[in-house]
This record gives sequence, C-alpha cells and structure tokens, in this order.
Amino acid sequence: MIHVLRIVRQATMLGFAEMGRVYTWRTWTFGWLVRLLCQVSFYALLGSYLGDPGLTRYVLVGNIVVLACLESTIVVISLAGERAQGTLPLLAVAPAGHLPVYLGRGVQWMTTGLVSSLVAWTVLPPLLGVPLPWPRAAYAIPVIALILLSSYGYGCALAGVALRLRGVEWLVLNFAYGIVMTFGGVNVPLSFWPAPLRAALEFLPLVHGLQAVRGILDGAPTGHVLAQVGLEALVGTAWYTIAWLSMDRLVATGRRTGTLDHAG
Amino acid sequence: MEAAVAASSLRRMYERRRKDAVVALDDLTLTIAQNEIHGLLGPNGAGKTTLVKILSTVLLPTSGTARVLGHDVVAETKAVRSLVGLVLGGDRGLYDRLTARRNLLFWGALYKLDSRTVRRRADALLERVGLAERADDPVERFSRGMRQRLHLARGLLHEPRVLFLDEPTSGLDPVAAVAFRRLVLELRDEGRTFLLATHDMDEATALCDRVSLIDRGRLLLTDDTSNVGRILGDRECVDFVHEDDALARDLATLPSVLDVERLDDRWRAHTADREGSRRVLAWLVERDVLTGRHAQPTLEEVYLRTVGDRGMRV
Amino acid sequence: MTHLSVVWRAFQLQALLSRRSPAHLLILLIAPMQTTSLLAMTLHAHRPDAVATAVIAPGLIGLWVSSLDYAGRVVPEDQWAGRFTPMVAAPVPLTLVVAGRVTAVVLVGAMAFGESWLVAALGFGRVLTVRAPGVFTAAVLATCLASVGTAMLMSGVISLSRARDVLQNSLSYPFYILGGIVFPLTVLPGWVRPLSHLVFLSWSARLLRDSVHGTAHDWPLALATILALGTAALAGGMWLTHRLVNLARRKGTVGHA
Repeated sequence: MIHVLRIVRQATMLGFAEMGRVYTWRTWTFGWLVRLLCQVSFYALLGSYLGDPGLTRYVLVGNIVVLACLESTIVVISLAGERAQGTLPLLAVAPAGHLPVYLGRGVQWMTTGLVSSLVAWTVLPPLLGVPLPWPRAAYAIPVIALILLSSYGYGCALAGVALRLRGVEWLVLNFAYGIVMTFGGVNVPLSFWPAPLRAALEFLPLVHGLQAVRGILDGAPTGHVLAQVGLEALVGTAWYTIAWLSMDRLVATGRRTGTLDHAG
Repeated sequence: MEAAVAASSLRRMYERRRKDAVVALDDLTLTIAQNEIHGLLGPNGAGKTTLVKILSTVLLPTSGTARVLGHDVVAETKAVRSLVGLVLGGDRGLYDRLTARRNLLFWGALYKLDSRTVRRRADALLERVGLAERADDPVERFSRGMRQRLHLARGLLHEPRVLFLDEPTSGLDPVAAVAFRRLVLELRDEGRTFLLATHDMDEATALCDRVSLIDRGRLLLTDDTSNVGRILGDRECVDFVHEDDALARDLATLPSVLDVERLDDRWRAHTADREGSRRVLAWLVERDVLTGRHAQPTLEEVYLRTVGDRGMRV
Repeated sequence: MTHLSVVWRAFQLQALLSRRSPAHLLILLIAPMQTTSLLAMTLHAHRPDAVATAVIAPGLIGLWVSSLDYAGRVVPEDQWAGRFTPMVAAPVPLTLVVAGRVTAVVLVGAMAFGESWLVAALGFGRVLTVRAPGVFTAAVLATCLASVGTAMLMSGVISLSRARDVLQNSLSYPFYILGGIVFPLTVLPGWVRPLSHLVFLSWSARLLRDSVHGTAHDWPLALATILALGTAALAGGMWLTHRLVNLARRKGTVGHA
C-alpha cells in the first residue's frame, strides 16, 4: 500500500511537472482560467437572453460544476501520452505494475479543476447578477470534489480507449466531456431528453452530483441530496473498476500481440 | 551455477491483418552464463528486439520456454521483473518534461525502492553515467547520447542482475560509445550479466564474451567472440593490395592457395594452414608486393558471410 | 510552379493529413454536440425565434476552432517534427504553403454549418429555412475568407508566443462572447461592445441570423466589414509569418519549437 502511495505521489509530481512546462501560474490564471470563466459566462449569458434569472442561474450552476468534470477528464491526454512517449512497456515490466501510475498521472487536473470551479463558484454568480444562497452554497463544495473524483475515474476508463486507438485522445476527451456537457443536466434538465436516453444518462459521472448540488441550493430534503451523492459515488466507483479492468487487459493483450510500444 | 538466461525452442509469431503471420523468432535455443556479456547480432528485423522483449516479460512467446536465473518468464513474471533491467535504445521511453533526476525517482518508486535508496542510487548513477551536472535539466534538452545514458541509469536503478540492452549505442558519437562500453565492462565486473542486441560489429567485438548471430528469427551460430572467425571454415588467409588482376590469377595457381577473392579495397588469398600463409607472403614479397598481411576473418566478415550481404534490404 | 499551384498543392497536402489524422476532425465531432446543447436550451426555454442562432453558432464555432487548430497545432507540429526547416529552405514563399493548408483546414470547419443544420432537422425536427439564401451564402463565404485571414494572423501570433498551448486553448470562448455568436450584442455590457465590432464573428453572426430571418437590410456594409477585417488579419498574418522566418534565420531557431 505504501508503495502504491509513493507511486501515486511520484506520478502526481510528474503530472505537475508536465503541466508546469505548459503553464506558468500567470498563463494558467489569465489564459486557461479566464477561458473557463468565459465558457461558463457564455452559456449563462445565453440563458439570460433566452429566459428569466431562474434559467440563468440553472445554466450558470450547471456550467460551473461541469468544469470539475471537464478538467478531471483531461487525464485522458496524460495517459495517452504514456504510449506516445514509449514508456508503456517499461511501466508494464516494473514490479509495481502500471495501475498505480494511472491513478496519479492526472491528479494535477483534479487540483486545477477544484481551483477553477471554486473560483467560478464564488466569482461568477454575483458578477452575472444571480448570486448563490450562501452559506448553503458552501455545502455544495464537497459534492463538487466528489464529482472531480468520479469524473477522473470516467477519464481513466476512456483513456483505455485512447490508448488502444492511436491519435484519438483529443477526440475521446471531447466526446467524453461533450456527452456529459450536452446531456448531463447542465443546461437543460434530464427530463428534456427522451426516456431511453435518460436511462443511459444515469451512468454518467456528474449527473447525480449535479442534482445533489442543485438540491442543496434549492433547500431540498437532506435524504434526496444524500441519495444523489451516494449514486454519484457509486457511478464513480464503477468507472474506476472499468478503468482498472481495461488497463489490465490492455497490457495483457499488448504482451500477447506485441503492441505495447507502438508510437501514439 | 544456474544459467542467467536459458531459452529453449522459443517461437514468436506476429499476427497481421489480411496477411500471413510473421515469424519473428523461430525455434530459438540459447543459453547465457552468469556474468557473461552476450552479443546478439543480426540485421534489422532479425528478431533481436523480440527476443529481448520476451526475456524481459514485455512480450509473451507463442511457444517454447525461457528462464532468467531459473525463473520462467511467463509463469514467474514477478520474480523475473525484479531481477532484470531493460534498456531500450532510441529517443523514447523517458518523460521528456521531467529532469533526469525526477525520471529516476519516478522509476525508483515503480521498482518499490524506498525514497532514501532511490535518491542515493540516482545520484550515484547519474554520476556514473556522466549526467551529474545535467541531473536537473529536463530530458527534452538532452542529446541522443545523454538520453541513452539516462536509459542505462534507469535500467540499473534496481540493481538488476541481468541487463537487456537493445541497441544501446545507436546514434552515439564515438567518444560516448567508448565511455558506454567501459561502463558495461565495469558493471560486468560487479557480477552482472548482459544481453546486448546490436548491429555494431566493433562494439560486439570489443565487449562480448560470446555472440549469437540471428537472422529471420533463427539462430545461425553461437560462439566465443574470439572463435567466431574460425567459423568460416577454420581457414587462414592473407590480405594484400595490388592493382594487377594477373598477379591474383597467378597466385591462385599456387598449390597452397585454396582461392583468391576480391574484397572492397584489397585481395584475399585463402590458405589451408599457417604454412600456406607463410608461402603466400613470401611469394608476394618476391614480386615486390609489400602490402601482404596475415589475416583472420573479422566478426563483421563472418556476419556478412552468414547473414549475407543484403545491402539496405531488411 | 506558379504561386497558385503551390497553394493548391499545400491545400491537397493538408486535406490528406486532415483525413488521416483524427485530431484535425475534432471540429466535426464537437459541432453536433454543441448544436444539441444550444438547441435544447432554446427549445426548453420556449424560444423558437432563437432556433436560427442555435443552428448557426456551431458553424461559426467550427470555423473559429479550425482556424485556431491550424494556428495552434499544425504550425507548431511542423516545427516540432523538423518539417519547418525544409519549408523555409524551399524556393517558394512559406506564406503560400501556409495559405493553402489553412484554407483546407477552414473548409473542414465550414462543414460544421452543414452538420448543425442536419442535427436540427434530424434530431429535433427543426428544418431551418433561409429567407435570403444569396446573402446567406455570401456571408458564409466571406466568413470562411475572414477565418483564413484570422488563422494566418493567429498562427503568427502563436508561433511567436512562448505560451502557445495556452493561447490556443484560451482564444475560444472569450471570442464567442465578444462575437455575440449565440446572443445579440445588447446582452453584453456597453463597454465591451466596441471591442465586439473589431471581431469579424460579430458581423458574421448578425448577418447570418438576419439572412435566415430575411431582415438583412444592410448586408453590403456587413459583408464589406467582414472582408475588411479578414483582409487586415491576413495582411498582419503574412507580415508576421515573414517576420517569423527572418527571425528564425537570424537567431538560428529554424526547426526548434
């Protein structure tokens, strides 16, 4: 166990080092963070154009919370990088195995996801004229953290796809995130979609967590909120399991077919 | 003493879409003693990398068995992994955006070493491969030679008893290659075993105790490096440089000469024994040809003869 | 080789590359999802009058993203893969090669218009009819041209910048807001609006919407503005590319990322 933690720590440092090569704190703040805040505002402004402040807040809350999912799923890119860098066979033969590495490889995105959604959570609502009910809005923060975790599992599972097909990591990332963004109850309630689709949406990360967040803001009964939180945790666990099985199979198959070290 | 590597009837096929499967290794049997530097020679696509991958557990054999220090590479993967170090040549396999030291710390964790040990060994290894001064530079700024050395340091981190090196000096400048070889010899003195896949004949001659030639997945020969020359039929020869074809034709008629062939820049007369060579040299001196030289086939010649000169084709 | 055939060859090369490299086709994946999102919001809010906006916006986003993608990915990839050096050494001006390739990329982006129309028709049963098809077509063409110009400008800016990944990622949503592509500019605070007028997207979005509704009375002015902004960007981009090559030759950074 201690080894696993050390590997996760090393992988996390690796992730931050890679991020540090792309961003400085200044370019992160004024480039990436501003872009995310603009993304949220874009939809919220559309909401305000289309309807009343109620709609604006609905869209605003959804789009802030979805940032957590967006950033967590970027782990797809980090993991696909292992194949491009040719480290996959070396990871596979390390005694500790490759699985703990995946757990730590995208932690930097969870961290920035937490920061950016929290900044958006505190700054944007008053700016766009639809303030959140504090201190109740604070109770939603742990739920946002949970969404970060479950989306990370979702990202890891989809990285399995990106690692199998070459050069598709950006497609996988955008598809993964786009599905959640479009159908996950971010801009319109789930009830907008036809019933069969709605059933499938239950298995996406964020969906239940976001309902819990909305419940907290609207003062819904604690039971309802906790149930949604529980479902979110369950969905997240399921995605981690899929990720684990998928990665294990990837390496097992790679050893059999000799495809572990193909360039990405 | 147990063999460091014992491969028996190893076979590896690669399935291909809409094409026949390729045989990368065909019934290969090979034993490498402990503390040996064993060269694996062959052209591109001969199966060198496939063998290295199977022995280091990256790849499963289609059939046959292989043991590393007595542990089966398929059934006892875990035991094998902590005993072997894998050093792949080329630019890939490192985290470009991390510093050399960070790369080693990362891999140290994957080899379940505790932090203090990793730190100590990383420092020592960086010193040893001559990267101490660049330890805190990101790898993306490294030259190819520096990457190769870092690859080696990475492979040595967990102090493996057997090291598999796949084309470790390809693309190195001569000075770096010499330093690299010196390091391999030092490590052998510490009791490690090496399997060195290469197509650099000079390197194999300089380093290896024994060599194996493989081509198209088949083992052509295995022998002591110093013996390999004799494989071409235990023959003696005399090399000389001369412009005139007629002289070579005359020489060929001597009873002690088996045949005379034209090499790139010289002639070579094959003789039956040492005495024959002596007569040829004397005969040449009588005709004022002073470039005659007693020679034995080099590893390179053996390679070219055995594998065949295929030029650029693979 | 005439200049035009260089552009054409570069166009063909990029078309081949885009077809083979899935990453370049990202836009075609994003557009239907974006249309779905925007249409869902519009219909959910019972605003059938805004359907045209929801269908047009993904097309504009597609064009913008493809320009950015070209500028932020294609050019640096060339530099990274060492293809930039031989291109600089080739006897034809780099600008022509860039122009041909960027056109191919932008045309891929333009396909987003068709996609979002299809999503609205097939997915939501909303068949968008265009009241002034002539103006609409002219507006799309002008927008494509302006995108090519803008992509040239951005590839210059991004190549010279040290934070290119950041720039590529960040130049999207701020411009969608400035360009008023899903809402009229009146939604924005008054101090932002002058800036919006400098972004060709704002003129394109309004002209496209108006031509769908048949209310594009001042279309000549709008078209002229889109083309003028595009040309200005193109000129800036060509100047920057030229500068980039000279800088690279002087500083010896040709071939380095």
